[in-house]
Amino acid sequence: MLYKFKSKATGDLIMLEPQGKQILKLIGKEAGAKGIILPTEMMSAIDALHAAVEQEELAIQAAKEAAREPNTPPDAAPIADGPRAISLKQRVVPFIDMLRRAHAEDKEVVWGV
Amino acid sequence: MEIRRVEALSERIVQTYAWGDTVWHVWRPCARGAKESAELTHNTNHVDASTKPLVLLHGGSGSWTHWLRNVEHLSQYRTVWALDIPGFGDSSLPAGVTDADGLVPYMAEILQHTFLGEAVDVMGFSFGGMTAGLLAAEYPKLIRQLILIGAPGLGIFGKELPMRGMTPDMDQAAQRKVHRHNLATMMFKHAETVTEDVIDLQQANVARDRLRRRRIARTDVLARAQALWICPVHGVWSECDALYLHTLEQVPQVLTQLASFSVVPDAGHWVMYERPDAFHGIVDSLLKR
Repeated sequence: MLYKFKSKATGDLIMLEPQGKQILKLIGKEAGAKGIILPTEMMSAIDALHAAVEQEELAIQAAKEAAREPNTPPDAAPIADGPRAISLKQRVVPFIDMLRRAHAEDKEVVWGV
Repeated sequence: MEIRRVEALSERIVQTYAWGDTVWHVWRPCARGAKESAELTHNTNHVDASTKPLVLLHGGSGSWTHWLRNVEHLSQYRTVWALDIPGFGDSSLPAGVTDADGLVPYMAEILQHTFLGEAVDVMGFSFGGMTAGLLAAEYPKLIRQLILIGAPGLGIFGKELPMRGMTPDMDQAAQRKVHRHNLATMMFKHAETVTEDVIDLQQANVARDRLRRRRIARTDVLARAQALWICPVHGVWSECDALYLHTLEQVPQVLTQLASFSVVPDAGHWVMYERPDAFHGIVDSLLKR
């Protein structure tokens, strides 16, 4: 299943199911097959996404620090990253922009309709 | 003519490599007005570190002019480096290169030389997107962020489009008719987007295309390369892309490594020409960071 987010103010944004569900959960929406984000809900949704990004960054930072050898000097080469993971920060940029534009034009964002 | 006006705002940089010359056009955020006094240069040691470079790679049978309606907007906030990909436009074709995969080491050399190892943002349209995606896989340190626009190489093309060919006996009018048909068939949603100026642009670009036997766009070469991507890669496709007429929604399912997938409404394959404002609305949020 794909989540296809649409708004009269912007183009469509398409997400794979896990990513779509994750973002809807973060903004407090039920990740059903259909749904709507009202303009009045958008600013708090953007705040929630920013907060989640910040949290993820802190968690990544903490994980990197925890993974260092105890006696490794701080300027040592960083430990090689594991398999590539696309950060929430990268994923949410177009979605936040969509919410901003829709809010500015007082249009809702819908999916599954 | 629009091409001359937009080109006059740029700095044309010719770089000489062992295998031939490469041509960039560069639009800088603060260069307006000072352009006339700018001297053409053959070295690029003056890269302005305060403005992150944005590299634009055009589509097949194209040149920097594929970005004609975009460079002024983008250069309001980024230093825009539009390349004539080797074998297209005014850039030389390296000996033995016949397709995007063969171009990759040459593209790597160009980026390495031009930006002195700094990872840059790259936006690639169609063939240029496929080439950039292969480059990001083989030379991940060169690219900071990649935006693919209507890129092929996913293995999900439908039927061949009803394109028309040229024959040597065709006069100018007949040739222009073929260009008009082909542009309307493949590049645009709205036939009226194909103005006489667009046909001029296309004619000039097609005449300089020296990679005519390329084939890998119909394979899944880009889909296979994505496993090696390190940088964030975003996809921007058009709603009515003739190459993805019934397969648009398969794109994010095939390119699972995309960080985002946006669709520009009411536009065909050459989306950034047909709907520049809607296109900018999407890429600005990715490029202004």
